[in-house]
Amino acid sequence: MIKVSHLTKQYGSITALRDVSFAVKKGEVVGFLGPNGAGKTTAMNIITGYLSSTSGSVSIDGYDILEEPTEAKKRIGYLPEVPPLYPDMTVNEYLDFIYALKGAWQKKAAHFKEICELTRIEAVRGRLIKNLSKGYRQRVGIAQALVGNPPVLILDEPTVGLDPRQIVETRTLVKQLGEDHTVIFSSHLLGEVQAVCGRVIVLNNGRLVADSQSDSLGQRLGGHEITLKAAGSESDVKALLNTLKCVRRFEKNGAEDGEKIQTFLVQLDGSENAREEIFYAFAARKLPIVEMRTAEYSLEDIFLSLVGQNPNESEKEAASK
Amino acid sequence: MKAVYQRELNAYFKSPTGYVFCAIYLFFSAMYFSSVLSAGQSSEFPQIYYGMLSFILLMLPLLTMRLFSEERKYKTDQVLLTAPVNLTPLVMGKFLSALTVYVGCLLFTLIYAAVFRFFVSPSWPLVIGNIFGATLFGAAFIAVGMFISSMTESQFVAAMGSFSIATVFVILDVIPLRTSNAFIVKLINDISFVGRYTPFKNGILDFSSIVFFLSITATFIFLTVRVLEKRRWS
Ligand SMILES: Nc1ncnc2c1ncn2[C@@H]1O[C@H](COP(=O)(O)OP(=O)(O)OP(=O)(O)O)[C@@H](O)[C@H]1O
Ligand SMILES: [Mg+2]
Repeated sequence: MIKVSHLTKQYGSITALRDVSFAVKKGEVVGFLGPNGAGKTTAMNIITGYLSSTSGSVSIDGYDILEEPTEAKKRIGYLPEVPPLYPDMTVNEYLDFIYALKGAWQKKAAHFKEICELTRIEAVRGRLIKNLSKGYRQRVGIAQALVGNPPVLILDEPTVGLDPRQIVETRTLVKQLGEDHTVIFSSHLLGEVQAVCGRVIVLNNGRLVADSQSDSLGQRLGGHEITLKAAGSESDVKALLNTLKCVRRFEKNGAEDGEKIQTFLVQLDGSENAREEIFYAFAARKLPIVEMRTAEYSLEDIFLSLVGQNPNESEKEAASK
Repeated sequence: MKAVYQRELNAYFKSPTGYVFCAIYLFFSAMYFSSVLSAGQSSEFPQIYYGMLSFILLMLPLLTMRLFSEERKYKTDQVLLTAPVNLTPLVMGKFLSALTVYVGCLLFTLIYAAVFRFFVSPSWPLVIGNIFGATLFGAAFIAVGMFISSMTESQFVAAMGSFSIATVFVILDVIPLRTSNAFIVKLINDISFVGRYTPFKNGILDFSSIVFFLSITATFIFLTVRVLEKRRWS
């Protein structure tokens, strides 16, 4: 549905994107993850045709964004980083304008009703946009992207600046939209991307550094790694882990209680009942599991492991150029 | 194009700019009208249009300053430029909205003509010729102002930019009154908006003036499209 090949973008001497390629299939929900200045917004602006790339190409459903922009843009709904709202219009007037601008063909009243219910803005439809709170503006921004019912949605940090309840609501909404749309969604938060997206793409300093679909480092972000604590000797636990089919790799990550309790980081193959299998195997060998949980990474951990440098340094480097 | 045109037209009358522009225009044209009325001669009537030209140059930045600067400030250009429409109709929609406000004010002067009729019948071809000329005159300067607005994010800078150009023209127009050098007078009358308007004042539809205004309009609309296109590559 979305094909991005060898995108490079230079702003003068700053390189915001370097040779980024990926493809998104119909119906996928993809999370763009990366620290400030990673190039997420730049990539999205290029995909939606707002900016042009220095080199490389983007096609949407087979239509090149530069060669057949109208056909390509018809298929995209875009929520930019700052929702593109006219403060002096009411929500209804604004949606009317977007409807006419995009040349949408859906029955207007029913279409708007559906969108407003989905984004929960029915209550404010008659109000001036400049009087709305940040959260509502964000939702009107999402509503705008949905007008005309485009199959592809590009959402740039839709949860930034919202209160915790609205963050949860927005995530639920994106998940819901993911059922019948192809979505690219950007965020700084790994947890959020994991909760909402089936696939994670990590950008850092303009490079695509991991893609949970294609490389193993990226798969670790996909939630298939657990921390396991079991009582027993190190050699016993290792021997047992080696025999398990669902375990792809493991490494020791410390011990407690004078070597009585072993801690291991275990990477699973993603099969559904992997944890049960581990549980019964350990129980059978009389190695009681005292703790088993999904390993949680902070974005910093990931960058350390992926690129071997602190994300802040890469931003500084970008800034100093 | 229609969507943008309607939105822009509404926006003029949601903010004070539309009203301020109309109010200033009507105030000055009413002053000219009262002086024409006291002269009471049919041949004086075009003075309402001709005398207003310099004011119009100085006032039009009010209409054009927001056209693109505001979009960039609110980042709403993102929704325009990612919508499935070409740039030219978007730019035309904006241009036509400003032109509509301006022509609306011009047509208001027909009321003066109607009032004038009670005293002396105005020469209608002259009135029509002047409104036609003033429309072309305004269209050209609106295109220039829109182009300047497309280059900056600040409405103030956009207004000052077109205001300065207007001032240069107004000053240029004074020069022919002060010099007798035929070459300079001709040169200035050829490049000056007001100079190019003079045939319309006398009810003459001068072909070269029409071409002059239309080509300026087209050129600056084209340049505006280019500026928007080029920004994507920056
Ligand atoms: N218009 C511009 N001119 C010059 N440099 C720019 C411009 N826009 C972005 N950049 C630079 O390009 C790089 C990528 O920026 P981008 O906005 O794409 O990052 P991001 O991943 O969206 O960050 P954030 O998480 O803060 O939104 C940054 O180093 C930024 O400074
Ligand atoms: Mg961003």
